[in-house]
Amino acid sequence: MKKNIILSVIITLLFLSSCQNYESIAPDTFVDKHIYENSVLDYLSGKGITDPIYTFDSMLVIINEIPELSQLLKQSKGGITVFAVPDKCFESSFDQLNTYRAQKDYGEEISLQDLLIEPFTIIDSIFEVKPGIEPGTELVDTIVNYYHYDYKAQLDSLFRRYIFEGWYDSDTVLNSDQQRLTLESYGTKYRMNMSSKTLSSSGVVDGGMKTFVFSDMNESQLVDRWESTDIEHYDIYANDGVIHIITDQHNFSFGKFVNYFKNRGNEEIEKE
Amino acid sequence: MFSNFYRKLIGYLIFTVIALGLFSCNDFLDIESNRTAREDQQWETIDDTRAALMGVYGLTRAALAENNTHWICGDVRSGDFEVLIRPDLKAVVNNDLKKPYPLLQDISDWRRFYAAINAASIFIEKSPRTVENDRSYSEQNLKYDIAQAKTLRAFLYFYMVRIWGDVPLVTHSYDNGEFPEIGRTSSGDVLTFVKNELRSAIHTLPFELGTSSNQYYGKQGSEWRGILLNKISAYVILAHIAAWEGNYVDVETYTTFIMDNADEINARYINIDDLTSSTGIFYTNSNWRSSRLVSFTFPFSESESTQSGHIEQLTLADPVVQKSRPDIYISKDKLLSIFDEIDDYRLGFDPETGKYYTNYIHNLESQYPVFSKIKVIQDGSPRDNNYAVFGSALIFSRLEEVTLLRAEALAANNRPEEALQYLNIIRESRGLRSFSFKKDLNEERDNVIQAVFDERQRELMGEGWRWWDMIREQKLLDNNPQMDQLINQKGIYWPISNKVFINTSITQNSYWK
Repeated sequence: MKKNIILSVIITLLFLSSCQNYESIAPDTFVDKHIYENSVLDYLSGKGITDPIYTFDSMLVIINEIPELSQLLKQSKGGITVFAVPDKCFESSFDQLNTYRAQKDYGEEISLQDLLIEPFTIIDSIFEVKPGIEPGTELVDTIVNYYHYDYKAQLDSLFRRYIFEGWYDSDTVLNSDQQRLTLESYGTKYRMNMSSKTLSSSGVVDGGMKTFVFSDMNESQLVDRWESTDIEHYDIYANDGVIHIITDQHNFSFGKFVNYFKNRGNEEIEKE
Repeated sequence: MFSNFYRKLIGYLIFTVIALGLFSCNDFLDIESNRTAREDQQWETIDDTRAALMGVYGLTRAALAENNTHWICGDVRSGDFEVLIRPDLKAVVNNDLKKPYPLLQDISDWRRFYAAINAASIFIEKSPRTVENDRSYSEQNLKYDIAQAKTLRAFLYFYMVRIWGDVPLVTHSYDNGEFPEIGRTSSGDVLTFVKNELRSAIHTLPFELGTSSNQYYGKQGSEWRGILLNKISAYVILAHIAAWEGNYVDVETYTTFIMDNADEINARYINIDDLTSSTGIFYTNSNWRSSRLVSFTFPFSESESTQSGHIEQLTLADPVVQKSRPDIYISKDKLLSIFDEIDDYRLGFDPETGKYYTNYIHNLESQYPVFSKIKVIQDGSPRDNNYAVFGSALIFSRLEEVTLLRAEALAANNRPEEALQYLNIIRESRGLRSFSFKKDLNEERDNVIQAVFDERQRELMGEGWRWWDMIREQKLLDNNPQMDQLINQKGIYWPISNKVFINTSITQNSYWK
């Protein structure tokens, strides 16, 4: 009888102490945020970064030339979101432009400095001679055409498409409606679109890596008309804004570079 | 403990069990099963021959397409494509073909080719019986069928010679229970046999199989176009054998015949939209099917579409199919160096929209551009891209390929200006400007040859040609020391799979020992 009691007590104790439940399949993976102590402008300048993979010198050149932008980046109030364009993207755009110019005989190679010139106007006067009512008198009609060229402003408008006011990191985009966000770029009404998605992995939906795609909507709601590019590193939190680095396979300006600048240097000829 | 009675009982039991165990039956069941098809039941009716002939086609298709052999040997090995992650494909790019990956072992196993060859040999030997047994199977029908079987057998041997060099030459069916150990025959002898077979087949094979009054297996000629082989297909194979051997005089003769008679089978030059469309030339029943000179199809309507056996399995990804990254891709830098002229419809720049053409490549500006030239998902017009089986045909040759081969032959035979004429046909159809012999090519024959091979690289990208073209380019121009070394050391061949060495008279290729 005693033996039985002791036995049953031991068995009961064993049943009461069970093993800990393991957590569910996909524990929350905590990814460290990438925090940068200085400002966005400092990040682009490479301050405090050892072994930078990308350089953003072309961006800095453009920012310095356009006073409104450098002011925005020096003191922004609501935070800014910058899609950083590595130098290689500018190089590919210029390569594409120069190859086009070479194959179509538009002129010599041009570089960034050729585009950052002050706006100028070409004045073209056309004299039309009309015979008068009486012989010996002639009327001369002067038509003056003004051709205004402002490459700097065009470059500026292309560049602004990569800068937005506000803090938009990948989580904000992920949590928005349909995981897409349409925003107007800084100072213009030109809309760009960001979308983010978590892929599935090993059978776990939303357990894989995040993709972040940045698109130029080309003023259309049809996704087919958009130009998209991948973001390589996202969510770099600086003091005054978030930085996302675009893949270096991107061509700066989403395919508009050749159209905008193919005629640079041919302004005198164009009027004819 | 046990009484005497028990002991006796157990003793008898043990004795019975042992006794039963010592006797066994000798007789096998000698009643014939009436559910299996026996050899003497075959070759009775026209349905048997049709099944057998289509079987040979099916086995040939499997030999070429299994594990994506055609594209791995032709495109991936050339190094044009970069591999994202897969280590077995990376081994192919690095010419490290003896690594123990299942893919490489499967590709090196030539037994799937011999299965098809055996089927063809059986057909050639046994099908004449059907003429006596079935009156609806005519003599002419038999001649056409045997010619096709011979052409397929010859094609398989040529394909094997390209991959392995010296291969055993088996010309009988050996369906008699013998398993002789046949050694390797030199590639020259194999190709001689192949050429003789093809030369006899081209006299018998018609341009079109079946007319409205005299149907071939119940269908008219136009329904078999682009699916079965015809006279022109045999000429194409002959032309390529001659090119492989360096005999460019013959190449010129054969390609001239093909181009002069292309109208007989309604083969035409194709524009870029129909080349790369999902319902274009790669789709089985497309309007352009007759432009497929030698091809093997995977029709979705007959449930023959598969995942493996198509380059799309390796190259397609978002947004074309639901796969996040492609297995192989061509990097943007490499693409821009291959497609160096802006007007190229295949990957050029449309200045009005400012975008690159998406005929060959989607997502050029992402990290891994998608090679989407061939994209026949299901039957080309799927309701959604979720069920990613592919119905694209394996096209060995089409009219553009033959035109470029003719240009290559003319240039190799020291007639570069005529060669340029044919090269320019292709260039102009793809949006490029014609080359002038004086201004663009410095009146040098070697520059013409280089231009032809560059155009082949662009036009035939993804169709399993690049590696073989690189070998011929080296033999003509001698400009690639790495390839030169490989050719001399016989490293251009694949190793032979270990499973084959049960046949003790076969030894490994010298480079791979």
